[in-house]
Amino acid sequence: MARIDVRHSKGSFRTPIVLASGPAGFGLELAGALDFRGIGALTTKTITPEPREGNPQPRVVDTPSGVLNSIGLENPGIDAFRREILPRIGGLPTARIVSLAGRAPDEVATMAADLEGAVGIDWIELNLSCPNVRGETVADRPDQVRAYVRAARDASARPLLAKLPSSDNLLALAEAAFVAGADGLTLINAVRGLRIHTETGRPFLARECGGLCGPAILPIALARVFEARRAFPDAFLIGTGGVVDVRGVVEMLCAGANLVGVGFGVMADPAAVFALGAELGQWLDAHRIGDVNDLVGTAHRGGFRAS
Amino acid sequence: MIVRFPWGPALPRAFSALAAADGTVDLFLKSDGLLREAMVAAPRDAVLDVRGPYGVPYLDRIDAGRRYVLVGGGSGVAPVLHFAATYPELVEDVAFGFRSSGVRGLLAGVDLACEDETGETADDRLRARWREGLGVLACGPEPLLGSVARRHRETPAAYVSLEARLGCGYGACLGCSIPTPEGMRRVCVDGPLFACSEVPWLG
Repeated sequence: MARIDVRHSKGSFRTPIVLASGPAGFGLELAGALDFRGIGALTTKTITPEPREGNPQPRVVDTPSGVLNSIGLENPGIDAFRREILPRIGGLPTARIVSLAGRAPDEVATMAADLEGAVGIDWIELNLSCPNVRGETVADRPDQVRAYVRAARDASARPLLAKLPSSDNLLALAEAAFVAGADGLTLINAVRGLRIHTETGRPFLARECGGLCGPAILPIALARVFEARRAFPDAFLIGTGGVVDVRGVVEMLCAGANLVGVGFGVMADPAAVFALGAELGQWLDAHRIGDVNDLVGTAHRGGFRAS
Repeated sequence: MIVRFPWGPALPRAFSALAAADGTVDLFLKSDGLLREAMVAAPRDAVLDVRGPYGVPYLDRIDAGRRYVLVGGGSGVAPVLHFAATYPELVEDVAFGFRSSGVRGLLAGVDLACEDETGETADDRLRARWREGLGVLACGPEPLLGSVARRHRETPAAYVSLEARLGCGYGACLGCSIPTPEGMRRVCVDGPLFACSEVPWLG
């Protein structure tokens, strides 16, 4: 049997499958029905300093091959997260990545510091790219990314991920994150999109634009992971965007991801996502690859035959 | 329950059962929206992803010591017809309405108002048939539910069955969150039934 665990100097993961921030909530609804040993890490919903009610309805609309969503970072806030939720996810047999967002670097620093003594957190992910909160939490310039990451880095000893948008400026944003002390990147967030109701002539979503996720964005995410891996050969990367099956997992690993995030898939068919780790093991066996870590970045090395 | 075409539109949709017995479930759909178009066009014996049921059963949410006028607009008749068949002792009367009488052939024997025949709506029938002491249990398009909720905000045991656009269906993604006086609630798992007093924004 091929090895599907992922080893990293800052922590290890039972499988490369990561529940991306958002659709899985805090994992609690899934934990009753599905076995988290199939999941390498659970990323929480993004936590903000204060509770947020999120955006008005409608928040979700389907598109061919994807979903446009505009949840608006609904969450209970850092205090209630620490008090009520963290103790409940601490026992899940998977790594825990806590997603944080703030309107300014000092807000994420305060939250990261607040979590320093907490048990049950393995990584922190800074959500620097939510497409659904107007004028907040979007770091689309390298100096902003640097400021947020440095603030969190100075406040926390935990391994730190920066979640970046699909940007033509991605490599500069990534460089800024690494310079400021990020241990890895999560690529990419949902892609800004819009749908309009043809009977009313108005946008479907209450907040007009939303974030497109699902199979529609897989090629976009693959291209971003591919270019990030080429520019940063030794970086730790979580590739997220449109993966719903084992073929997508393999593509993302070959493009250069160390771990593969699944968001939309958790919404559409959670049981299928929890089976991906085992399916990946079978795929590796069938292709005579003994260790999933050897698959990472294969597309940069001339494919299987050359590697 | 949540229904999805593995090969079709990406987002699963929530549907109420029109009837359920002996391992089969009947759904009653209006063919609009990407998923429903695909469902109506599906060949016989097509295999769908179905999961659920989710949410709180109507009976666990309502005051079961009353009798109700059931209100159904369009495909919203499905869950209330199912309720009527399951708990006939809780049903005082019905107020069902459709735009088009073309639906009569599908719902033989059901007391329906059809707007294209008489101009009468489900809401008109509710006004005529409800009286003090009875409960209300309504499912249908938002304008209908808004009208019902507006009139019955103070009525004990008046409920609307909401149909937000769902994401996951099991309470995690918060695609269907709505504000209530007690805080945010998820239509998929905390609902779908809410007392009219819990949704002051409706109507």
